[in-house]
Amino acid sequence: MLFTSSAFVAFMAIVLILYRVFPQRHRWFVLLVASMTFYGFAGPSFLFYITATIVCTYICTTRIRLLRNARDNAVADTVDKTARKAIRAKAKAACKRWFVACLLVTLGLLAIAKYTDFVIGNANSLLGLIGSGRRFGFMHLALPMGISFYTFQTVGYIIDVYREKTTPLTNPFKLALFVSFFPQVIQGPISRFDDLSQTLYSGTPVNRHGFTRAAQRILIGFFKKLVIADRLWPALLVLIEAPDEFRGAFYLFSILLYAIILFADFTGGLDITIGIAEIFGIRLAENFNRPFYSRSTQEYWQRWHITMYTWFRDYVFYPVSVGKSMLRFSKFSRRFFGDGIGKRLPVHITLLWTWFLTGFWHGATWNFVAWGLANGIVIMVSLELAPLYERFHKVFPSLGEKKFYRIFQIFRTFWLMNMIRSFDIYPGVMNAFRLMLSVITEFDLSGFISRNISELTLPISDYVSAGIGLLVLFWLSWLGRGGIDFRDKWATFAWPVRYGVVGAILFTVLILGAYGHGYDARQFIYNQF
Amino acid sequence: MYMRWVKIFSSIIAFVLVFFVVQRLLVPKYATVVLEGGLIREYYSSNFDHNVVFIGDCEVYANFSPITLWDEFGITSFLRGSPQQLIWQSYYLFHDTLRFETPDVVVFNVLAMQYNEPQYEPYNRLTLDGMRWSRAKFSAISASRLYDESWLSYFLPFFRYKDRWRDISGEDFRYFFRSPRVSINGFMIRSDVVPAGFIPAPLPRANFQFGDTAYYYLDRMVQLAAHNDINLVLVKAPTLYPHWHAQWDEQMVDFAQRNNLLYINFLEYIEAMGLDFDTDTFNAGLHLNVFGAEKLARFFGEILLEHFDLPDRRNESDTAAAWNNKSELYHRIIERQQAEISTYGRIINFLIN
Amino acid sequence: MKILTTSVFLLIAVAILAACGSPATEPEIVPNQQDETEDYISAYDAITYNQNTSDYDEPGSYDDNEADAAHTLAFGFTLIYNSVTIQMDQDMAYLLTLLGEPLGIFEAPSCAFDGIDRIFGFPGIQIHTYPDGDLDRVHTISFLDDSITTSEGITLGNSLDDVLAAYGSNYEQDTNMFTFTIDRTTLSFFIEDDMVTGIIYGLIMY
Repeated sequence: MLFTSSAFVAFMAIVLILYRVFPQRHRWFVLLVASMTFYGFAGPSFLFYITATIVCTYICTTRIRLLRNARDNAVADTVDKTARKAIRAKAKAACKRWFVACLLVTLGLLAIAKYTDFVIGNANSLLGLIGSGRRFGFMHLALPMGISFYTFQTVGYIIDVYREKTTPLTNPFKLALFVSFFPQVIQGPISRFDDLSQTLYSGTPVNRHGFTRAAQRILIGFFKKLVIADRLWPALLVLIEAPDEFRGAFYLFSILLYAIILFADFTGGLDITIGIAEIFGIRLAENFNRPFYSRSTQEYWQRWHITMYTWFRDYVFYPVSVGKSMLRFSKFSRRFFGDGIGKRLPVHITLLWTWFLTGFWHGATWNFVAWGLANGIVIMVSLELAPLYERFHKVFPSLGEKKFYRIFQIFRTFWLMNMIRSFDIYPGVMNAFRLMLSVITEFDLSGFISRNISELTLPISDYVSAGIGLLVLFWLSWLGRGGIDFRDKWATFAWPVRYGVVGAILFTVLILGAYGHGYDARQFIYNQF
Repeated sequence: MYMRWVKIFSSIIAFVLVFFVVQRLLVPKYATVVLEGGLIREYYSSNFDHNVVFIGDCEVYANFSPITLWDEFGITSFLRGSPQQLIWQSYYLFHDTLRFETPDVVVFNVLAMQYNEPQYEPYNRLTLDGMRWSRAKFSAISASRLYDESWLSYFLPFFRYKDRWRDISGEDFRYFFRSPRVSINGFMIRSDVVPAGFIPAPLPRANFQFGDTAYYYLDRMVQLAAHNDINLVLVKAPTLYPHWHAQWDEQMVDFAQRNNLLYINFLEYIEAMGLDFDTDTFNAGLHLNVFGAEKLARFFGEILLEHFDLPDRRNESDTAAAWNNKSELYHRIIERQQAEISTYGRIINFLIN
Repeated sequence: MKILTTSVFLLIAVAILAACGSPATEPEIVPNQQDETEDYISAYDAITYNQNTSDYDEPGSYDDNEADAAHTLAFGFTLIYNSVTIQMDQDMAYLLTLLGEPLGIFEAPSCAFDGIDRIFGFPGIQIHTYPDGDLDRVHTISFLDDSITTSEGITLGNSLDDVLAAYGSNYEQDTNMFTFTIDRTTLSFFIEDDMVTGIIYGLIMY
């Protein structure tokens, strides 16, 4: 069920009515039924995966809870220190077994659904390399909607339970709601249980003011998705479908288009997601913070897809970097390479491993792995060059504060991060590299100008309409500078102006939006995960 | 509290007002492009006093001259034709007509029998958008809708034509309040000539049997006519393309016999009518021009009088006054078109004004 | 030395990784994917990818038959007419440079809209085209008489057995029409009283 479909509007209307009608303490159950219904619309067979994840998580975390209760009772009944230590160790080992089992099943479901054909494809390639005629058949398993998102959200919960950061839920249906909450199951944000649970089960009735704010956010989400992302997508398709023809300056243009489309699509979807959650009085984490104003790659990843970045940081990077294996390797590398490299190598390896997993999480192809590793390598290189940058800024101390330098940094970061996204849209890793190289070897700006991009891709009116959309986005971004929510700024306008602004944006969506007859309704890009 | 309701109501009213103004701007006016889109709506400006009503596709609105039927026989008529009008649309237009009048004769052009399913969304719009809302229109939309057509876009055409913002022109403002007139009693006047040349041979077909849905609606048409004491006449206009296969003609002959209906295949009377496809067609034999349409009307008028007791209304003063005005306008339009053809080589202004 | 070793190790790792990623890898399977054998375009667009790829022909560049064939079907049913190979979906303007002037051209407009099919008459055959941007492309060829044979030697008047002997038994039958399909091309034979009365080459349009 697309967010931009009339079926979803009808669905939301029904859910809202039921939410208001039900007593407050049972409203979360309405959301659970709605979430499962929403998920079932994507494909009834997909309910198996999400249900299996929920059941497995509930059983394992319940076992862990019971083991810890038993441990605490046993420890309380025992005075002997050695015995207490033994009880704790035994409980810890048992908890770890359930924890590992839970992770295996949960991640195993994701692996089966998402990576089976990837493994088979690579096995077939290897067989071909060694000259064997044998080939394995592809399974063609359909990918359950949002499996990457809800799996990682669940894994975060499991890890937090294991680490005793979170008390496991005793109500399996509440756990089911946490895993399947419908606004975020498509494309996140990846929520932490401690954050989300504060509002998820409260059944807080939304007041008029809250409803208005939520509706404004949803409107902006539709604006971004329909006026910008879906409007420009056909133009990008033309360019990426013929990479041999569209290189050099065309390639740069396609990167620029993709940056705009991905940003508008992803943030638009999240605006709708967060807005819908707000209607139910539920607070979801923000996932973007004006990422195109970033001045470095580290900053970029603190502003783009924030919940994914922090998830990998907290559940992969930190645990691996302080884990026993890495500590042992750290000692070895310092002994073998010396203190200089020896200290940095474990960090880099952990970094690359984290980004490898990040890329792999995005998609079951080597392109995504390359994308992830490229990000990791860029961060690694910038870490390595950090001392050099420091020395440079000592020589030119005021340069960092100059406006042109900040613009240069923003420009550089924008193009670097988005050129890495070539792996997203062009098939073949080497193909993506060649296209990046074509910027230098085949730029041909005059060729780009003479071959009218509007005739090749979209009518000029479509670019104008997307351009109007971008202007509105810039305006919202300018309003939101200093971390202020643009809705708070709107609230300060006189009411005719405020209503006029909302009306103008609404009409822009209605008229310029890429929906209705002649358009293929597009699912959000990140829904594919 | 009071101010809040003022704000809410005034915003809603403002939104609705702007929405309908924008909708009116965006909806195509059919003044210079695809004038055929304006045909169906023009029926509602008539006086609903017609002895003969034609229903069917472009072979109706291009091939029969209602002015000739009036001038030579005193028969009042209206052509409720539209491009690629499908048989269920014809049936519901028949129904719609009965809300306003009960003609003596309804004439249906049977070329549409070849279509058993909805075909092409733009043609649906050309027929259905012009209908006034009624149960007949609901049913027509329901029978015609393709998978990508939404009901909302029929209730609020804004959602179908929103992309016309790219094509907004002076004509959208000029015809904001008043729609342009494209026909005289549903007849589109074309006095230009493009002689028929190479006419391709028909493609072989696996199956010439008309579909169940087509027969279903034809049966319902027969019943509707019988129930309202209307004479239903089936015709096939004399056009050279698309092909009217002998196997199709046999089915219509058979159906007419079984239902005691008059069926005329005008293709068999081309010579008798004196039709000349060097001079009587404006698009190489696909449709007749006004000269051909007059010949056909002349021929058909005789048949109508022979079979049905239709009054000669030229002696009814009010009717005669109105129709004589139409006839005068009709001849003026033909003269104007002829002048444009001699000056510019083609017709510039297709509107009736 | 240690730095060098490290650098070489990292470079090799990057090179190995960069060398990976091949067409043998299956595209990511997503819900509603229509056809898993499509060329991989993007992980995102399986739902709405349009099979009608852009023209590679430069309008007016009719010198290279290979280039035209590269766009149109390189396989499927073709007709050899007056030593000219006619392929389905081929650019008609290019074909006319090889076939010469037709006996007649009929434009079959729709009732109201622009964009029309054309029918080109030649001795023995008719070629129907559809508009594709500025080009007209072949979508149907019909036989008018028995002066023309198919590439496999069948013409009007042959028997059903002759047809099956030439084309095999892998056909679809609709009443008296027997249709053979290769990729996007069809070849249909109309049989009456055990005699071929009609032959049509067709293009499956998406």
